[in-house]
Amino acid sequence: MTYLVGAYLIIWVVSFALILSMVFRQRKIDQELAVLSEALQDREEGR
Amino acid sequence: MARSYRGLLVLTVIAGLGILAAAVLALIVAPNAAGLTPNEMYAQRIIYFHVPCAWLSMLAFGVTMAGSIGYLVSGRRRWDNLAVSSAEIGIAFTLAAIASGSIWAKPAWNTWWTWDPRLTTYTIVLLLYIAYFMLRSAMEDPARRARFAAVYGIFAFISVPITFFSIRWWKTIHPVLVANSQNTENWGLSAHMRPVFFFSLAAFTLFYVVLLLHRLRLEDTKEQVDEVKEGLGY
Repeated sequence: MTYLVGAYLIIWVVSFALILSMVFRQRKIDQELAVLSEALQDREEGR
Repeated sequence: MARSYRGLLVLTVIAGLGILAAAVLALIVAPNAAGLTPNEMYAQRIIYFHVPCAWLSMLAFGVTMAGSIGYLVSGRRRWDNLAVSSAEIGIAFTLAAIASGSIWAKPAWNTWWTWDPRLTTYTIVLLLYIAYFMLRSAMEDPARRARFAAVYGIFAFISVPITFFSIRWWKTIHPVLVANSQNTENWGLSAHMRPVFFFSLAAFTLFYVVLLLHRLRLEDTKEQVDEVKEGLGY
């Protein structure tokens, strides 16, 4: 039983780690895009 | 919220439910294998998730190869995005398959690890795709990185069919679950186990598609960031 639980746990942990890493990276890149887009807009308005 | 993103969210929920259903079927509904000790009997249920993880990793590396060919033919960055996104998912599920297989091996083979042809070739696959990311991180120029990675991605895939067929070509202790001929008597699974096994395979395949779509979205946003940076003169 321990082996069964261990194996399923590892698969779930790997899956969640992958999903969480993708969520955090997406959030970070969305924030970066928002900041850069604002900077670009400011520059265009300043012209 | 964009329509395509809403569709992706719905697909994500369906994939999540599919994996949960596969877990219930594998742990509760699937019949016990005959002629095993209690420890082996519990461990045997690992295959319903271990094999789909291995299948998913091989599928993912196949898509990486397709993306690599697509990039070399068309030169479009979208193909490179597909290749790198799929390779990342492939590595994660190779790790999951190796780790869960090792846990299964302890009660079945009385050892956590042995240099069996399947285990050895699968480890080589893992190392080759880790090297794929090392190669990518060593290059700054996106076009050069994509070109080199594409060539590497095509050659690295050669290791995948070798791994798949290793248990059929060489003397091994790894079980062969899927019949290698028309004769279904050769199957390593009983007729009652097969529906659960195939349901699990289908659920993991859908899970892969969903992960890939989310990962591609991440690459698309990265592309937008690069474009804006270019506009700002960075």
